[in-house]
Amino acid sequence: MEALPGERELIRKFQSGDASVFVAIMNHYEPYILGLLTRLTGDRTRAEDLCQETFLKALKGLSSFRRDSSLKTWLFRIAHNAATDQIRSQEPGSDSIEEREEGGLQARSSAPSPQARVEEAQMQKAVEEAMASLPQSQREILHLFYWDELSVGEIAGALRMPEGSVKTLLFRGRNALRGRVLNLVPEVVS
Amino acid sequence: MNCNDFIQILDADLDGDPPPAEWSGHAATCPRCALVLRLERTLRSAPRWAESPRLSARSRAAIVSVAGATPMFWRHVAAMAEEAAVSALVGAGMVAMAIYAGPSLWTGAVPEPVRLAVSPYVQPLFSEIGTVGAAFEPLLHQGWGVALISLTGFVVLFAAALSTRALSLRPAG
Repeated sequence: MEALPGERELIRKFQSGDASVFVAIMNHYEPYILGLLTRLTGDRTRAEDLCQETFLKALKGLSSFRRDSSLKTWLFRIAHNAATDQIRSQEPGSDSIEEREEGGLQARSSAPSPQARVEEAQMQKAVEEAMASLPQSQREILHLFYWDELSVGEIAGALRMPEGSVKTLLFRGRNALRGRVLNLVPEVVS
Repeated sequence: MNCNDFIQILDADLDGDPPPAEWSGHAATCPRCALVLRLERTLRSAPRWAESPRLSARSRAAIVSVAGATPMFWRHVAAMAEEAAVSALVGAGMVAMAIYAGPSLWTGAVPEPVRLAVSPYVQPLFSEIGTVGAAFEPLLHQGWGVALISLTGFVVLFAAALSTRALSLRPAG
């Protein structure tokens, strides 16, 4: 992810009373935040509502943003909390979510695989399918690492967890993703 | 190099660049690792091929309208006041606990040699606290005394927290 040019200056301007700079901040981070939320919820409408909520919270909190963390990390943390709260409130019992997702994997794995040769687009499709079947925690870490290009340290800051836990989740997520993609793709290769 | 070595190197490379070209030699002879490498490269290029979603005009308009709705000055004041109020409540709670449990902890939990060593330094402070506390004691026996003392403590801590917050927002230099 590219850094927002002049980010510190934009924050300073915002905190000095120029609310118009918030649009520049939103324009830069919106695709990343919305991408993550779409990945987490699997529903574009819900993701858009959560994205709106994220930026409204950011708008409220940016006045007192202390730069203890980067703006990027801070925004991802707000988005993560918003998504987690909604998932918990709508689907109580995170275990059931995990179980449902595991069940979903079975269904997807037994679905007809693509028949054509291995092309990048097909690999991408396989990755998207495999990502959708991963548990939420792994899906989120992988999305932040690969799609949003956050470092392990930045992910740890955004999700408020130790770097070791991020590495463990990333390791498990990659293994799970590999397993699922390898299940999907050999049929493409053949 | 076997498949396990290949995967280990791949997994170790969490924060760095994509795997070096010479390392991928193993992948040329192993279809499974070739696929794993291909997957890794696809993942690393995800920001280039993935969709870049955008908010609808309606959502953007909603955010922008809120951004322009409340004058910045009051938004600043509201945010600072909220933080200061939380800090003051926490601070008041801690002070109340210290006043309530401090004396018994001091005599009961601190070893005698430590107490004797530290006493010359903290005794003046304790005396001052005792003098101030004695002045407030009659209030405790009145109907609204406790509420008044609590409110006063909260206001003092709130003002202190608000001042600290306001000063910390001043641009450096």
